[in-house]
Amino acid sequence: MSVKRLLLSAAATTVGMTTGVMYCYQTAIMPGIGRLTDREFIAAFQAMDKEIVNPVFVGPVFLGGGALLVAATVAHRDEPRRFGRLATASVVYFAGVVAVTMAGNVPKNNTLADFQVASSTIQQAAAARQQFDGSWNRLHIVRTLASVASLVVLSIAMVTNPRQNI
Amino acid sequence: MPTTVLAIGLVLNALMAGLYFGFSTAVMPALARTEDRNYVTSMQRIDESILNPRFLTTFMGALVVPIVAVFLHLGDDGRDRLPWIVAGAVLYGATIVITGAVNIPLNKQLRAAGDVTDRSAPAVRAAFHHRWTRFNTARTALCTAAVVALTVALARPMT
Repeated sequence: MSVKRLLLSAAATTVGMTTGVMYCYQTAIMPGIGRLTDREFIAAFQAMDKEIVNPVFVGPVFLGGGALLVAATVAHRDEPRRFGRLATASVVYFAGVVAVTMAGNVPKNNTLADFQVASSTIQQAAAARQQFDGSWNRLHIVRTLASVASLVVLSIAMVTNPRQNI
Repeated sequence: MPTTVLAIGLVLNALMAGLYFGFSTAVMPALARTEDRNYVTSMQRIDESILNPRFLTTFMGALVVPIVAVFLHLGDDGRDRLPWIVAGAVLYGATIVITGAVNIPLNKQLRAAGDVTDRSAPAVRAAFHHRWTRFNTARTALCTAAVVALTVALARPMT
């Protein structure tokens, strides 16, 4: 297997895993814990947030996906059509997934992480959840759609005929 | 057409692999640290939420679409890809078997426990957690392998 093909497959696998994790939050986790009481919701989200910041997910999968996309793009610089598509997939991934996470979701996660569930009143928990819930979910839809879009464009790039130019 | 079907199969498998990975890397370790009643209630609500039409379409589509791709690659021009697509379909098929044999029965048991109290929750949790988590790790590994196989297939040209 050539280096180019290896990079494409590795990028598709890691971007695919990231996409699936986004989908997991979208279709199972947030709707599920969304039905808990305010304090239970905050405790559950805080615990998951702590766990997901782990070397396997953040390293090879989340950032690795972006790095492999860029590497695959650079490796295909001599094939204009594939290069354009891979560059598009990279931009969508970095803007819609990585940047939205860093600038949007992570600050919200950090604010919520500081909330002391045990010593809070019901009203304080309700207010903290209200501050978090809606806007986090809106940002998350962007990440989910962007990661799916990035994966789809990457798949299209994979099957683009290398000899076809523009 | 064969290529498009294969690409859709890959995307669906990626969604499933990441979903299982999400449970392995975030949901289950997090719930493992919460107290028993919160654990049971959270997992019950997640289980109810995941049984939605969009997810079930993804879950079944990730098997059906690669199988269709196998048939579309039976001709001479598909022979470089064929073994990898078959491998992907078999690996994903194994995750469905695990789901049906282990995870769904455990989910049903959890659902049947209904509203738990601080006294009843520990036993409900103990009967669920280790087995469900262990087999979810297996699903994550198998499904990730399916994704790898399908990406390898897609990276090979039709001859």
